[in-house]
Amino acid sequence: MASVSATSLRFQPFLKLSTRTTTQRNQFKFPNINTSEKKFRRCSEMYHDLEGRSNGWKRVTKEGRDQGCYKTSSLGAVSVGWNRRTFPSLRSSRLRICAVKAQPETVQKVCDIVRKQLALPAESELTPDTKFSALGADSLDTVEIVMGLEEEFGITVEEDGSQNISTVQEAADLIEKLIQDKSGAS
Amino acid sequence: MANAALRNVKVLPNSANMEEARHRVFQFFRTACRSLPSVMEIYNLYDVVSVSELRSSVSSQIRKNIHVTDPKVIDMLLFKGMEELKNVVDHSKQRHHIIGQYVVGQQVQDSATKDQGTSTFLKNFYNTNYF
Repeated sequence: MASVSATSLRFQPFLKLSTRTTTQRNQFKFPNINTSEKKFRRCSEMYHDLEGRSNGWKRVTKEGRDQGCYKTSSLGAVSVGWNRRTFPSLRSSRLRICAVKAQPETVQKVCDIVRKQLALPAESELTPDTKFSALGADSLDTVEIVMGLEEEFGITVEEDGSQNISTVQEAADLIEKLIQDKSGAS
Repeated sequence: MANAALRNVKVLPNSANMEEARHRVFQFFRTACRSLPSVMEIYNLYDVVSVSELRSSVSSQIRKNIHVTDPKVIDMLLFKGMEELKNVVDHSKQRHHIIGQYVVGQQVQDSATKDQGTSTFLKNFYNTNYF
């Protein structure tokens, strides 16, 4: 995910140049009725890219947006049907998520990350009920621990969630919940 | 992705109180940490530093100003920090700038503090030209 987005960042100048060329060509050839379907698809894809990436070219972006809306609506219809069929199972899985407690593996991993982040010796006791403030961590240290946990488990902790984290057990519970949500959503 | 997220950043009005300024500092730190994988990719820093080390470097930079209590000063520092982050993510800096400021810079400072036998003049000389 990150690598793909970063790669797109690298090729940004090339995209800009091609964007200009495409825009001029399209404007010049717009009255032509004989435009082939292939070209039309390619142009619409380019518009879709433009919509997400550049703030300029308002006209092109507008057309791209219309195209995008049309495509999205058709795809949305399909996905809505799919979602309706599986809705009951989603409900049951969500109910299960509420009752899930953190696994020992997750707690152990969290303890390792906390110990590494705060540069604690290996002999120090780190129980699930240990508070970060008791270990000498200030608020910035706590945020840094949460960011480290995000990187390790590949999740995104929202602001509301991270404010409530003050012990190892709470962090592990939140991570387990987010992992369940992530797997349930996919 | 990080570039797109940072593009819509606006200059916020001044913080009303210390709590709001503190909240904004944490928000900025989170934004910076989420940008680090992109920074690693853009500048190809995989053989020089890791994401966790960069995160520690960023937090140590923030910690240097931990004594500031005026919300206006904190807002000014946050503005400068966001500008710096935007410069880094937009590739307005070169690779050696990143390495010199956030990777090697710490080591130089650390080595300087270990010299306890040198005179005050040399200590000041190593630290800065303006004394």
